[in-house]
Amino acid sequence: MVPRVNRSKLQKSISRALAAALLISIFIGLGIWQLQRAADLQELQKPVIDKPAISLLDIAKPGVALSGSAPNQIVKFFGSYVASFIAPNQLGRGNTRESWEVGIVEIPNSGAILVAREISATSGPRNPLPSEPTAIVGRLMPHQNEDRAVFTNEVNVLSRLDSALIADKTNLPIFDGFVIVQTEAISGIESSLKLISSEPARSTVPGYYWQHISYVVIWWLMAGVVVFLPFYQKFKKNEDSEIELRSRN
Amino acid sequence: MLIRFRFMAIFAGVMSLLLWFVDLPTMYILNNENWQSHVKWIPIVHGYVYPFYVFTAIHYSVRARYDIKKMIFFILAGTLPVASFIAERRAFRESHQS
Repeated sequence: MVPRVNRSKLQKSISRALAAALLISIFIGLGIWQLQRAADLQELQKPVIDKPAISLLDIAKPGVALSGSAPNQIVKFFGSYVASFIAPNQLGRGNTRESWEVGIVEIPNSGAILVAREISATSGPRNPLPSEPTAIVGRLMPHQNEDRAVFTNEVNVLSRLDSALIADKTNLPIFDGFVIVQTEAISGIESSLKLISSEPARSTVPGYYWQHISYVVIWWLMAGVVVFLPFYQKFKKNEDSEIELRSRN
Repeated sequence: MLIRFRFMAIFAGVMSLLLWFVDLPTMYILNNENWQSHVKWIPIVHGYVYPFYVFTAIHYSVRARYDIKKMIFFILAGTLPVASFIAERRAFRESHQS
């Protein structure tokens, strides 16, 4: 039979060992999680290889959110411009701020989509939208969540490229996201446009930014500290009792 | 040893202050990409300074024969903006008293 004092000591030791094991596994797990996020980020930063243009209707449906693989694809479609806007303060080539000419294109028997057509002229009259049906090839981008410009009630200004802002401008259901024009042709003749840079949109790993890879070292170091502390406690106890003995003698 | 700990405590404290009151507000409250690009180095430096601070705190605590609770306080002091300054003052005062 185990004496009561020994049993409570044993229980205390076991619970301490379990708590230490739990803390160690949490710290090691956090380090591994951080490494995985770093790997995810590296994967996202790989260059996007453009595939040949595919029909917009093959990868997106009006009124439905874009699927995970749809953004950044080169798409082609045929339709007519019905409205035009200015999207100010958009990020262009070399991180410069520029205004974009944006239109709504209605695709017959399907839906409408926002199309960023070209960089706005800084002076002089704006290019009129083509009145005839137009064949468009461009990069499909995810909708923007944050306003690029101060929200305004001006009818022809879009603070961000988001189909939610144009819901009342067309009777057709609207596609999610928007397209940056790469080529536009009317009756086989290519329009001359001041093209917008259509670099692929880069995804980010949320919250990764300040949890730098150095934090892996910190988490694992903390696991090491948890292993070290009980040994230190024992070492200190022994040393204290030795000192006490010496002082008694 | 004390000088090394005091230096690391002040350095880690300054980096914590920069992280909490400059970097995080710039990244999450202010919407200015230019400013954000200027403060990107802060969490990286903080991330590398803190493990060195932890090593120094452990080394100092062992040498000063602190008990576990005090050692844990000294280790965790590097995570909060002002705590490492408090730890530095306490270490300085105690070393002078002894």
